[in-house]
Amino acid sequence: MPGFVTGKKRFTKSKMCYPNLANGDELTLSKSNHFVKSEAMDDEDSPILSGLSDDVSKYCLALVPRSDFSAMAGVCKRWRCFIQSKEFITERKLAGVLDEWLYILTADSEGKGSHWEVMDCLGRNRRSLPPMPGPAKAEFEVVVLNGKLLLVAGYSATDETASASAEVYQYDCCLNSWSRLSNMNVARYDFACAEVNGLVYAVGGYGVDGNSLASAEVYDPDTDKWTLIESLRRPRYGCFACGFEGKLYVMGGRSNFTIGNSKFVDVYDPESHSWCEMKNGCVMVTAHAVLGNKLFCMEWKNQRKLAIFSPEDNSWKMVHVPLTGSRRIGFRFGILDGKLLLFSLEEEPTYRTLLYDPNAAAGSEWQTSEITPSGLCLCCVTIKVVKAVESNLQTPLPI
Amino acid sequence: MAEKASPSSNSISLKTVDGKIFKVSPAIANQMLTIQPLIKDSDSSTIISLPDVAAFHLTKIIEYLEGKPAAAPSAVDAFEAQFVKDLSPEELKGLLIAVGYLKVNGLVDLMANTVAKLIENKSVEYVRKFFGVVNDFTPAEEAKCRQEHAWAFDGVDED
Repeated sequence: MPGFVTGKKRFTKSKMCYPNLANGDELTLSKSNHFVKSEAMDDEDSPILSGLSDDVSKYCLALVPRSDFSAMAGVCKRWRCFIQSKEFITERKLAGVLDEWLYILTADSEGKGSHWEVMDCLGRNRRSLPPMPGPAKAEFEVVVLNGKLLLVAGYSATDETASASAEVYQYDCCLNSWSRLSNMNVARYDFACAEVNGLVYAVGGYGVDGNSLASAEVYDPDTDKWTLIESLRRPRYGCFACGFEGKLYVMGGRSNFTIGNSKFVDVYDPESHSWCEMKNGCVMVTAHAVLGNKLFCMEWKNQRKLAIFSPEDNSWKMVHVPLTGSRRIGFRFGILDGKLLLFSLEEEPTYRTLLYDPNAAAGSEWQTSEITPSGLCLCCVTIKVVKAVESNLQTPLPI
Repeated sequence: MAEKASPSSNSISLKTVDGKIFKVSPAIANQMLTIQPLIKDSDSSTIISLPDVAAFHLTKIIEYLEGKPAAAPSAVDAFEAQFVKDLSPEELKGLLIAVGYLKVNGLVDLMANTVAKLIENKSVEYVRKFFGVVNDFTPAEEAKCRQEHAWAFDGVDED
């Protein structure tokens, strides 16, 4: 049980919230609610549910199923504020009702444009997200931060202009709405982006004039500000990033000072604010995902093997992907419940989604999964916020 | 909060806001975390008055603490389901407030879950009315909220 016993201070405070709960019959109760309300209107500390300490109220709200979040957010400002907060996710974690949903950026069938699909851990309860705001973009980065989806920068092309963008948008999956965050310091596309310890890092890419960038910056969600950090030693683009043990790893892509693809791994330590280099990166990565304390990559030169990186000893391990036939087949990765999903990039239905469980017994690591996006998967992220309602899970899919 | 009464047994006396006195064993009283520190400092002659708990709610709380099966999760589930079954929404709300105030072991979980289930698939208006929450959105903000939650509801339960 989450800790409701938070010491005397809370106790006294919660007592003060309902001094008038006098006669205990229900009529008086609702009267006293009115009393508390009118008093609470201009009070920042007004209770979430009158008569209840906020500890208990928050616990109640955290137990309400996901499908009701946006309705709850429409009740009043205090509720809305709580449902948008980091604390709400923490509270759900404590209440043991956190689970995973897949957000898949899916290409539209005409080959033009794309949209976000969301589905539960069984690939059911599918919905489409409202369209992404701002001008259409490509080569932006997607990162999950505090249960929210961030779309960072990218290349925006309208009829008149085409250039790198510094815009950042956030999707709140509890409110089902997009909002705009602060611009980055440097507009960029085709860069590396990842979350480390609650901060988002963006590194390299191409700038406004199509020039390659060495600059790097960090976003703090608490202040909604991007701050430049020490640049890479040389410009790097087409790369990707991931966070391990409080450090940022930048891999892949190309750099101006190497011929061909960069095998270097740039590692940023936020504590010392400095970069260092390792030489054993992978090259030409077509898909990557972090699962547990390991990085899973697929390299262009061999798409029938998973390259698995352990940051503990900077080692790579190869795992064969069980594919028959000789055709080249590409994948996008997703993560679900501690397992790696491999979405086929072939449109043909014979290619099922593969599931790799690194912790399964030898011989049963690979399975197939029913989870398939409605179109080509461009990008897939997992957001842990909310638990599916049991009853909803049993309803047939409207597809 | 505590006053002296004639010494009787080893039980703890709890006085509700509507003046009724309940005698409970220390084992029961100790599960109400809010009054726990008062129990230590009191003897059998002490009456602890509970300014925010009505007799009806205290009866239910004692019924829960005395009746809850000690073992077998399935028995507990059945008991808890039965316990909340006959409560009206208003009674539930009153009981949640009493339970939240007394911090009753186990019952906070049960009541919070039950209240959460009540909110499930209800309209915004129902939730506001039920909890006595004032709508402090401007009409424009409200319209925006409605747009957001359009996707969440394919059908809302009848209130």
